[in-house]
Amino acid sequence: MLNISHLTKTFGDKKAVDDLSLRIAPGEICGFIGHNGAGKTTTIKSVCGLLQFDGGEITVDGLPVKTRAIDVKRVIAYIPDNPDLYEFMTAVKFLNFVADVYGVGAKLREERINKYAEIFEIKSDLAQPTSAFSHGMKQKLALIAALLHDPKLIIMDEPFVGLDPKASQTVKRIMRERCDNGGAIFFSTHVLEVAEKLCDNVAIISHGKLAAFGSMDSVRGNSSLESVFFELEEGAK
Amino acid sequence: MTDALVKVNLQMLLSSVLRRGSTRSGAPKRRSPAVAVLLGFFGLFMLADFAFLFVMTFDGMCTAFFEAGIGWFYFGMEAMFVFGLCVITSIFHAQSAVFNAKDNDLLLAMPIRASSILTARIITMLIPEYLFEAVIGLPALGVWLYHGYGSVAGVVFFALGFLVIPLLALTVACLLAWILTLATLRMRRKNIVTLVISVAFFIGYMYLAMNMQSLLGQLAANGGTLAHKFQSYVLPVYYYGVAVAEQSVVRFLGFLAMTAVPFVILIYLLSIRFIAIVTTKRGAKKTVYREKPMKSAGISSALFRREFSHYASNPMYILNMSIGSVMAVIAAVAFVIKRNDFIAALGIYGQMMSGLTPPLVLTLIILFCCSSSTCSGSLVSVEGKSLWLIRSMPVSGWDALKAKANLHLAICGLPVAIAGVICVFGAGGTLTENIMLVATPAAFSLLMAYGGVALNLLHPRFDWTNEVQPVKQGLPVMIMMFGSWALLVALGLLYGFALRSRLSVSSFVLVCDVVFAALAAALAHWLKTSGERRWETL
Repeated sequence: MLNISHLTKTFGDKKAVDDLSLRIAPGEICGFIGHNGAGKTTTIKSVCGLLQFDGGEITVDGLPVKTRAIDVKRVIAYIPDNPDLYEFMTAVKFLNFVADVYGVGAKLREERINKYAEIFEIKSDLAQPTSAFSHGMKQKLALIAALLHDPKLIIMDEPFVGLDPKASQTVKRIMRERCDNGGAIFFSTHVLEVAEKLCDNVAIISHGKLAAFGSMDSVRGNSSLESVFFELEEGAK
Repeated sequence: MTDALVKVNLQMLLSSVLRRGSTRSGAPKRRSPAVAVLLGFFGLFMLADFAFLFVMTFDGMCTAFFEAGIGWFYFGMEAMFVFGLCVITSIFHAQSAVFNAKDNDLLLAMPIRASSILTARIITMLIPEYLFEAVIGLPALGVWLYHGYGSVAGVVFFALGFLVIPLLALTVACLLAWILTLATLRMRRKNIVTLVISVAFFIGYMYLAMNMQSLLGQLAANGGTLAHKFQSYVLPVYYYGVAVAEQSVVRFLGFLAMTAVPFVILIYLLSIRFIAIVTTKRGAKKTVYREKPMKSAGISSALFRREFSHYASNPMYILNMSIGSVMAVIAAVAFVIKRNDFIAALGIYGQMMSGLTPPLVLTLIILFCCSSSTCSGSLVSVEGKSLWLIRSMPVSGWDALKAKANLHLAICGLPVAIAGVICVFGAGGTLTENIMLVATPAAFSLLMAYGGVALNLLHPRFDWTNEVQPVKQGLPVMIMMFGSWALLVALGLLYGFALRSRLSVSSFVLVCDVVFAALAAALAHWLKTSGERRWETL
């Protein structure tokens, strides 16, 4: 589903991502772990076509991001760590706008908006402007918007920040369900316990380079993900 | 701490003009000195224009008032002009920059006194107020000295008063902004309230501007009566006038007490209540969502509606983006109603300049209004922190940029074209002149629409703390306004000096229309190709 091959991105003199390669198959949840400034968000933004990269290749569902960015964006959904939504719209107008852009039919969008708004318990708030939403509610709204067009790949940057425990649990359940139905998820997190419990694969990035990548069992071996992460960090220093 | 905050605020203010759009790494670049000098020149040109108007105004009052023995009323009027301009320009500025500033939460979370934050914001607001005051006050001073009524002590009192008058204006503006903020806390349609008040101010301003000559005539004729009323009811103005015109220390101290003391009290009260005001979000009564059948639309329509929703969400956007087009329609309707007066007035100028026909003058008026409609010049910048949304969606850069140009055409181009059509009914021109009246605003609007989007794409700013900043202070907006004026003047000079003997005015204007449309098409092509690539790097 997602194939990152030798990705390199430089900002001035600094290599934010250096020759990073990883692959995520349909049905897999891949956690992306790294310290602050390790290159997680740069990688994620490159995958989403939000950042032009200097070297390497990224394909999503066989489509190269560099040359077919619009087609790639049709099959993915991106949720940033701090979703700044359109504060001039009500939540339902925002969702309608997103559905229009992704070409989701009237009936289908109605079903999906109502279904997910009920799941995330914000249905009664849909007529409110998004400016009145809390961080968690914005996060929920961004998640609903991301699910509207039934994407093949969902890319999330710190998806659990700001969510209440119930919403976090719901998100984890939806993530698993989507992957069981052939979708794929690539998300960054600092919460190693969550990654350990939820992910099929894990990628650890340190100072722009991929320090470890593979199935959760192969990466952590007999120890915990936390121990492996700190060992790799120490090794990189 | 206050001086550090003032420095930051000033840096922000200056950087909106002196720095240009973000680079790929996010750091803004400094503008070239040539551009900064050009901007400074345009700014001075504008200020000099207004100052000249005030020289004429004060020249009409000075001798009349001093000879009538009410010299103090001359400076009283100067103080009233300054006070009015400062209040009007700072009410909504105070609301957005003091009470609704986006960095209030950030600053309040730091170990900074609320009074320091407030004082820094007030000082930053005072700087442009002094600039506005200079545009009115210096002509008043110059005219007074020129007519030989001046004295050294008077100049000293004038200079001291110069520092104090904006304090009173800012006191009133902050108080009104505070009331407005409190009154709209629970309102669902607070934008409409703000828009209505803004439009009321605008209409008042237009009324004063359009009737300035007759009002000044009345003022000169009834100076004594008015002066008596001011003396009785507007004491600070009276005291200030007497202090400068008659060099009275006692009156100046009285004036100081009546202006500086309320300012200090207000700052004190606001400091106490500042945290409560800026952190109270009572919100409007919650509207509960009721399921309704949903409708789908195409991408172009969705993008246009998104742009329109953003435009309609903020009364300051509406006012600043559409002021020119509203003026064009008002001018067209006024022309149809007062057609005979207009044509008679034009006859006087027509004797001086041949070829100054009503359709040509109307076309020029509408074009001037078009130049003031700078909507497209800020539509990329106003994306702000939400830019990631549209960039992560399957929307081509061209589609996104086209929607912005289309919004300009809808809210600026359409009204000016309608204004042209309205004028056709009263102008009584030939077929060519009638085509000119409609086609010229339409073609010029096309140029403004695509030109503005292109400029903003080249010079975007996403780091604003107050969302009106890119609409009012953005470089693309300034270039659009002054650049289009310069273009019109250049075309006028080209015709006057080089082409007058070879082409009729209307034929020349129609050729210009073709050039405007061709330039617009070239800009649209640039947006579709290079512009789209640039959009992807934002």
